[in-house]
Amino acid sequence: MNIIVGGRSSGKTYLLNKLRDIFDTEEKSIKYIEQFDLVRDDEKKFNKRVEKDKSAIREAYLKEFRIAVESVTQIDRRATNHKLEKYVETLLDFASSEKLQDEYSKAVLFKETVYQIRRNQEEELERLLGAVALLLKDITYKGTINKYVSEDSLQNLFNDLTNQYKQILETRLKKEWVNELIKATRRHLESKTSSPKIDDSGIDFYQIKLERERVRRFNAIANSVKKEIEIKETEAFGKFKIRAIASPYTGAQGLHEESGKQISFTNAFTKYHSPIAFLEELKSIEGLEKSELYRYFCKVIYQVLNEYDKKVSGGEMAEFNLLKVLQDARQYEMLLVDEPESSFDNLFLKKNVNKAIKDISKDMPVIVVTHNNTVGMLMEPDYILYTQRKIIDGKDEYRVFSGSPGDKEFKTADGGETISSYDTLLDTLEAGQEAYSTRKELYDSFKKI
Amino acid sequence: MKYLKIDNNKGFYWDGNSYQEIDKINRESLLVLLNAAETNEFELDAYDESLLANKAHQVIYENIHSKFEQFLNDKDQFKTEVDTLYREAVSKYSADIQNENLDDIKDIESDDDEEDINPEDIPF
Repeated sequence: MNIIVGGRSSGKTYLLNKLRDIFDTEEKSIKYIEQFDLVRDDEKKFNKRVEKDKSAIREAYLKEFRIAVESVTQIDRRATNHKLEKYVETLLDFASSEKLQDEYSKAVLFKETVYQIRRNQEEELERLLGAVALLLKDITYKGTINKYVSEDSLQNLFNDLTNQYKQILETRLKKEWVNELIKATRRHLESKTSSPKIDDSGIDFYQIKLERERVRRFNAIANSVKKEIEIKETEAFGKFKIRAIASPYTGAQGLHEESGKQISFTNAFTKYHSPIAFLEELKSIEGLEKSELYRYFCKVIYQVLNEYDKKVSGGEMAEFNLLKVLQDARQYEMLLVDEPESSFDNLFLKKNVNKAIKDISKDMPVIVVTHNNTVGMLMEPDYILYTQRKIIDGKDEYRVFSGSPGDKEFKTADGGETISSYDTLLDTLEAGQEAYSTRKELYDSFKKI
Repeated sequence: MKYLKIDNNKGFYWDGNSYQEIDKINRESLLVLLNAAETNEFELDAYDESLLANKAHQVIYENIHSKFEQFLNDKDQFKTEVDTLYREAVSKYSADIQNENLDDIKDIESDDDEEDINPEDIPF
């Protein structure tokens, strides 16, 4: 536990920065708490800080929803509707123009539909074959595998699956061959006839239904995500815990703040009640990343609660910040703190800051810059450094004296210069002997009253 | 229940309320048929040219029938695929997929119509 004391502009922070530069290497990581880093936040700033810190909770909560949003974002329902419209229109047109039909358009292949190719089964079999092949090929665990499934059984399974795969593959290739033939013949016949043609390209009822089911499920999921719900309560952190609550947006302003951009969400919010319509609106807003659209369906707020399950007060917010930053410091190998007194009053410093920093100093080197007596002395440092600035012949000269508690003198590193440790500490931490004595007398006078 | 049927030498489809002649079919009615297509009650009369006197009905019925038939052939596969759709999300957020209907989607689809421009409205 080391402290650095010294007058204003005597190079305390400079020395701390130098120490960081020296010790912050690839092998050793340093936590540096700069001046005012722990300063007391207003509530909004505090919430932002917690929000940033806990964004992982929101990401974890919305992970599955995000996947669904990304999947549904790919769907172009307008294009599907247009294709369906076109299909019905051209089918009715073709059917009603019988008089226009000639030998080309009357050919069966002219209005023949192509096979819809689906590869789900094929892909499933490919995965299964891969898994069985892995079991067959594995050498390290061969004994264990064959203890439960014999080599012959595995080989027979592989052969059986391969045969099924071959059949499915063969059927698909045949269908594709027929499709190509139908399409080529249709194109040829269409070029010869003046009869209207049926535009059914891309009309696959299976895919259209699947698309609609994706939208339907997405709607249901998004409506659930928008409900107010407590999503997580973290484990106790000191006397605090953090409760994350998901809740719906209540206006366009919230969406605007979430985006952090100069974008108006007024129009989009009018569709907020209907997830798919809202998503379509979001998709059409320029400047919004498609991969980020999931963020606009529900917001996650964080409440920091004290031991009585009540929202924290201003003082407790600072305490929470301190605990947070010191907890973070434990992951490092050295801690540097610049004037912690800038953020807290003396009582809090003595009761909380000193104790927390002192605890950490049991595990790693700690260096604290201060000119506060509560920190400097009551933290009971193991070593004290004093920085001094002198102007000699118009030039700044900086010196560092140091020593342990109990040393009568502090010395420079080469031992060439010494100063009285008692005077130095009283000067820097108590504003000198006179102020120290006066203060004591004044306190005593109050005691007498 | 028959969603596509041949009756009295004509083709008919079910529009959600009553049977309509097949040459009246439009996009919305196709979607009604599609919505019902994976249910067990969805049935179709097979296409039989000899039972349809009207040539237009023959063409329309045959074409639409063939597309539904393809879907019905893959119905089991469809159900399996749908069951796994966003399964983790449905379970995690307790999404009420049973009671979610496609009303919202219809809202959007009707929006498309609003975008159709009537040439007479163009002021030049």
